[in-house]
Amino acid sequence: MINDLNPAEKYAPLTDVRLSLIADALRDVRNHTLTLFDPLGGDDAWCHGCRVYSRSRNRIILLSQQHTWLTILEEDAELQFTFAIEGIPVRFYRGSPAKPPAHYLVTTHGELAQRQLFPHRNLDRILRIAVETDSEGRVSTVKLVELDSAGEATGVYVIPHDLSETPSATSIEAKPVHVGPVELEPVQKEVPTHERQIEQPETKAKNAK
Amino acid sequence: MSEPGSQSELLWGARSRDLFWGERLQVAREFRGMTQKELSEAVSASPALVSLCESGKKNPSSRDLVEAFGSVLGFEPEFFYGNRQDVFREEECSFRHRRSTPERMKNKIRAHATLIGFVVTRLKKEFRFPEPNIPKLQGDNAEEIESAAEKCRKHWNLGDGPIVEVAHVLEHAGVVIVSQLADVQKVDAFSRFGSTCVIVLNQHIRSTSRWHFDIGHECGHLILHQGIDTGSEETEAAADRFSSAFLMPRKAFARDFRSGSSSLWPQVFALKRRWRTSAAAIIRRGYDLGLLDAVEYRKAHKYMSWKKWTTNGEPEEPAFQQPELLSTALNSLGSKVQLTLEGLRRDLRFLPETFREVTGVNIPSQANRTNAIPFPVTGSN
Repeated sequence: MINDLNPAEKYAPLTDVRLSLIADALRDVRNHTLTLFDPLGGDDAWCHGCRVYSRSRNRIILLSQQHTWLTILEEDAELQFTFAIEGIPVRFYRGSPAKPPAHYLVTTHGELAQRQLFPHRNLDRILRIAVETDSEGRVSTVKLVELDSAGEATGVYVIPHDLSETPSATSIEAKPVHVGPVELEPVQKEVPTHERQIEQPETKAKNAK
Repeated sequence: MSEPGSQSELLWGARSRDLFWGERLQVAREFRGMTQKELSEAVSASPALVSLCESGKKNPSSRDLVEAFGSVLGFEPEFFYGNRQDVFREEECSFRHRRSTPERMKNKIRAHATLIGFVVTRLKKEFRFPEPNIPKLQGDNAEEIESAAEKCRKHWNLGDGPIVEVAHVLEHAGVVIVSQLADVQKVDAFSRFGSTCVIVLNQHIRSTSRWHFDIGHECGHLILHQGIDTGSEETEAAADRFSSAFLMPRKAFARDFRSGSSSLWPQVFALKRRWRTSAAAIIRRGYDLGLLDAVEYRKAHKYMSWKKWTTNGEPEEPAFQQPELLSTALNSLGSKVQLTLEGLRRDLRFLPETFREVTGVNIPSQANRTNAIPFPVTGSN
């Protein structure tokens, strides 16, 4: 198995925790959608693929609303879907890292914009998440693939499972600080000592009565 | 005119034994934006006499002169004989203003702030105001300022997230924030460090994000420049950098900035909604932290200028928040404590219109009626 890319070293924002969160989401969606597959009702591989794609896309959009490090990039083409992990653009597809579909080798408008926005980052390669399935269509592995401009894989990394609950994943976004208004309390004014001394005998007399 | 033996004459007899505070006369005059010459003409006295009275070298020789001072300046004559109060001195104050701001305008604002200080000092006898809790920190260079802002957040237990209510943070630290710079558009903000810490904001500024930055800027002066003369380019730049670092801590802000959208402006406005600072401040912060290079920074500024955001205001302003400490205290008079607004005014020896100008609060007419001196009943029965 090729595992010659250390993403966190080359692309600091691509931590195992973040990649795992996304890979697990893609895995869950695909495996769950498989249970909805109904060949007797007319479902075929094409409609299953479309359903998985739309649901995966939707899941990542929902994740982007929970994590500020994950954003959805604007694309010109309607069916192109690119997200960014702290500004690093990534797309996903089903298939082998060695044979990505031709239309996933194109650098999208969103990816170009990120390169222009962060010129100091080394974004000359494109990054894809390859979702591999077994003979039954269940997800076997999820890999991060780094490709050069010719579409050759220059690095592959197997994304680990179930790291998304690690505390550091949730502590990345700083929580807003809410400070309520000052509660103004009146100053307790002390009764002068001589008044207290005068009052005491009267109080005693009242109590005696 | 007072007749010999009248009530005024008796009061004068009592007053003449007290000390006339020239500083109070100066505060009252500067609050009205008058020069010594203008005041002397208004009360038919010589400018030299006014000057001597203000400097404490001479007490006003006649009661009618003191009454004339009060009448022209909007104070009761007793105002000039009150306790010696904390007058805001030039070296304690910082201004965020334009270069063209005349000295007279600055004196007027300082005098206004001094009068607010009088109000607060009196209110402190009625309410438990937060004790001043302002750390004194060093900030001679960018790194020290960044570090000071982080220490300040730690001192006030603020974490590193966006501050939603900046004014409340300062109010909890014992700073009174008011927005009463009436008729003054050339000064954005003013602050004073002392026994009563005050920040005065320009009520003509309708941009909440700009207010937040102004509060942060004045907070920077209070923390970095205690006992230091401000107004130089260096101190202003340091206060700006502090405000930026305090409102947008470098680590948390950089994380957010990097996780942005594909194009710059949607990303900037997403940050504006979250951090409640202006797009201009966000762009500057991005540049200061190396998240944007010089070319991107200049392009962004050109774009903002083209959109006229610098002159007409930016879109997507956060919800407006008024400072609440002083207004809460004033609104609680007569309900939480026995002292009423009218009682406060009388204690301070302000005329009603002056009280309104200083505090921005009108004394209800009913209170005036309740506290009116009854017409004396004279008769032979």
